[in-house]
This record gives sequence, structure tokens and C-alpha cells, in this order.
Amino acid sequence: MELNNRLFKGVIILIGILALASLVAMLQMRLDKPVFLDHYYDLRVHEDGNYRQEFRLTYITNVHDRRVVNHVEFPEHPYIRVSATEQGFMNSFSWDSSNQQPPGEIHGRYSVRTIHCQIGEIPGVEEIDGAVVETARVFFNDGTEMDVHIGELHFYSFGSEDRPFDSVSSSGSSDGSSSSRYRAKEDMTLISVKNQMLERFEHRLDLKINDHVIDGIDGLEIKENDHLIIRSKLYPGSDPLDVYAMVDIHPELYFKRADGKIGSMRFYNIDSIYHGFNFMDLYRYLDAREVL
Amino acid sequence: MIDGYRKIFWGVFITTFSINLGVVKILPAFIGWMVVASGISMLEDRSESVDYQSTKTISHILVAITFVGGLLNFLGILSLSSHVMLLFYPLVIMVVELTLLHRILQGSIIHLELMENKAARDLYIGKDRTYIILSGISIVLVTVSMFLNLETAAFFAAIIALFTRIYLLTAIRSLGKENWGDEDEMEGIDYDTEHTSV
Repeated sequence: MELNNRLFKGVIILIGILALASLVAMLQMRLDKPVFLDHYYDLRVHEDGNYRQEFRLTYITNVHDRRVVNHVEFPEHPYIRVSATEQGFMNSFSWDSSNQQPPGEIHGRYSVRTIHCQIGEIPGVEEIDGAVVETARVFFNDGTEMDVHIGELHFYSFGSEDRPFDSVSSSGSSDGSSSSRYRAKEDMTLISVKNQMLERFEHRLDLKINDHVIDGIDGLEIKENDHLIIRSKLYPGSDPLDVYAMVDIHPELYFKRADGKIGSMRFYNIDSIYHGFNFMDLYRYLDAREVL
Repeated sequence: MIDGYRKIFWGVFITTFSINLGVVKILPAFIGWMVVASGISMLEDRSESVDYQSTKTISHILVAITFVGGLLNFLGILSLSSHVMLLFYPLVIMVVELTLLHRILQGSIIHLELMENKAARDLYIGKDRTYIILSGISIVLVTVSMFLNLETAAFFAAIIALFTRIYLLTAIRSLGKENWGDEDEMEGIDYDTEHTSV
């Protein structure tokens, strides 16, 4: 019986230590407010207004946070209106709301949430061309709101101008690599590749056009029917803050056409918007963001 | 003694398999612990040599916290609240339960020892030990699942906790069939004289 009493005391002490350690860890890991990831997006706004670009904003919150975002505004550019929902636009409505859990991926003490945004009708497309959004005002369904830094959203207008390239094929992989192949419709000379956000990722981006690094394409001649192959690979990077950066940038390739005019074309194969989240990486990320 | 164990058995049974009628819980956990508390009082009345006072106090504490927990749950506060301290509520219940049931088994072992029934005493020492180990494992798993939100750990904790309860119920049932010397209660009971040696 003495052994049983010792065993009982041992179990109680073990549970006490475990519970205390869990409590301390829970309090230490708790977020004061939701933390938005950094998003680096180029977002096109179609001039004819027929297609509304969708994009996602991702944030991390405490696992038991039951609030959901139901509206987003951009105070820097209030005329840019977006529809926002955490349920997804294709999600069907349910009458049974009694036991609905907030959407999101649960990882340990955190929930990773995605706000699905769709750009609404914009009065003047010219006005939006070149607009950069860094702050969003998010509204939660409990009536609270907060201004958050979301990275950089670069808006540009997209028309149906004549392009001297035909798209042939494109492929992408979850490891961050992708390839796009175009066929030239006329002779031309490449000049440069420009994007305001390229510099931010140059330490982890491998981008080549017809096997030339982008700094070495100036003067590269492309003949009619030649293929233009753009290969890119965005490496995860060693900085914990790079791990969960959401990237979808559309660099602009400049070229001189046969008639001597300067033209440009966007290409779309530099993205990293689907991450495999896990508890320890989330903790490291939040620790690096100094929000714990 | 036999009636006391019978009440404890049914009390633990109610807390394990609570009966719902639609959304209303007819027999909530605190009712079960009240039955257990009443069973302990009966054991105390019949046993002058074993002190059940602190065991009874623990059972009253359990009645109080399960009543408050049931009320908070009924009002939807427990399931909706994200307060970190409320997350520990199931853990507190499980620890107090373990303490209470270990003490009931301990009291029975002391009683059997005083009756010089060595075989039965050794049998229940073994059952008490198994109960402590199984309960300990399920509580540790509950703590881990609570901290990391691991559904797998929660699932195994629930399976082990259920198995532990069934094991405990059989142990209490078998205690009720022991020869405690109170002959008046033995009438009508299917008593097996060979039971303790099984």
C-alpha cells in the first residue's frame, strides 16, 4: 500500500508539473492580437471590369479566437473596395449556425486563417494603376476592427493590348519552381525586367530568361517563332520571417519591337502562397516578429 | 458496507454514462458524485476503524465543482470561453476524481487489513495500483492534447479514461461482494465465498 501512495503522489506531482508548464507555455505563446503575414502581391485590375481579381490575406490568431473577419478596407486608398470573407466565396450557406467552428487550420496554440478577397468595381482604373497598399483595416464579426500591416499590394491596370508573344505552356511545382514558355510573333530585342518587389527577393530568387540571368538579358535578340522560356525558383530562405511570406509578383519584361517601339509584358511565375504550416515554425515566426 | 459500495458503484456509473434527453442532461455528473458521497457516508457509518472524513470532503468538493461546471456548460460559457484557466477544468476534475477514488480503495484496503483478509487486501492493492497508473496515463494525455490541440492524443485519452472507468466499476462491484461482516446486509446478495481468491 505504501508503494501505491508513493505512486499516487508521483502521478499527482507529474501532472502538476506538466499542467504548470503547459499553463506557462500557453500564456507565453498567447497572442495579444491577430498577426497578419507579409503579403507581396501584384494585383491586376482589368480595364473592362469583367474579371475581378481574387487574392488571399492570411493571419495567425489564438486557437480559441472565434471571431472572423467580414470586411476589409484600405485606408491609404479608400476607393479600392474588396469583398472579404473567411468562408470562401463558393462556400454554401448553412442554416445550422449553432455549432459552427471558425474556419482555419489549427496548429497547436494557433489558428491560421485565410481571408478571401475579391476586388470590387473601381470607378477609374487609371487611378488604381500603380497604387500600393501596405495597411488594411480589418473588421471582425464581433464589431471590433484593427489596422494591420499586410506587406505590399501593388495594383496595376491590365488591358487587352496586342502582345507580341503567344503563350505555349506553363508549369509550376510546390517547391517554388515554375516555367513558362512563349513563342515570339515577331523579331524583338529584350531590354530588362522590372518589378518594385524583385529586389526584396533577389537573395532567394533564381530567375532566368532563356537561361540568362535577368541582369544579362539586355540586347538579347529573339527572332520570330523563337521560344522565350522564363524559369524561376523561389527558395524558402533562411530568415524565419521569409518562411511565411506570401508572394505572387508579376515582373514586367521590357523589349524593343521590330518597329522600334518599346513594349512590355507581365509574367506570372513567381509565387509562393501555399505554405505547409506547423506549430513550431509558427512559433519561430511569431517569435521573430516579436509579438510573443 | 455493501449498500455503500453499491451506491458508489451507481454514482460512478452515472458520472461515466450520463443520460441525455435531447439537449437536457437528466443525470448530470454532479448527481453521480452526490450518490458517491452518500455511499461514502454509509461506509463511514459502518466502519469505525477507518477514517472517511477527508474522503467525504473530497467528494463534496467534486460535487461542487461538477455542479458549477455543469451550470457553466448549460449556459454555454464553458464551451465558448477562451479563458486559459477554464481549459484546465477537465484536468482539475480528473485529478480530484483520481484522489477520491484512490482514497475509497485505500479505505477498503485498510478495512480488509483490519479484518485480516490478506488475500482480498492484496487483490485490491493491485487494483488500486492499476487504477492509479491508467488514470495517470489518461490525465497526462489530456494535458498534452489540451496544450497542443492534438485530436489523436485526446482520442487515446478518452479511450483509456473509459477503460479505466470500466475497470474501476468492476473493482467497486467486486468490493460490494466481499465479506464485510455485516450479515444483515448479506441477505439477498449473490455472495461468492471464493471471490477474493479469484
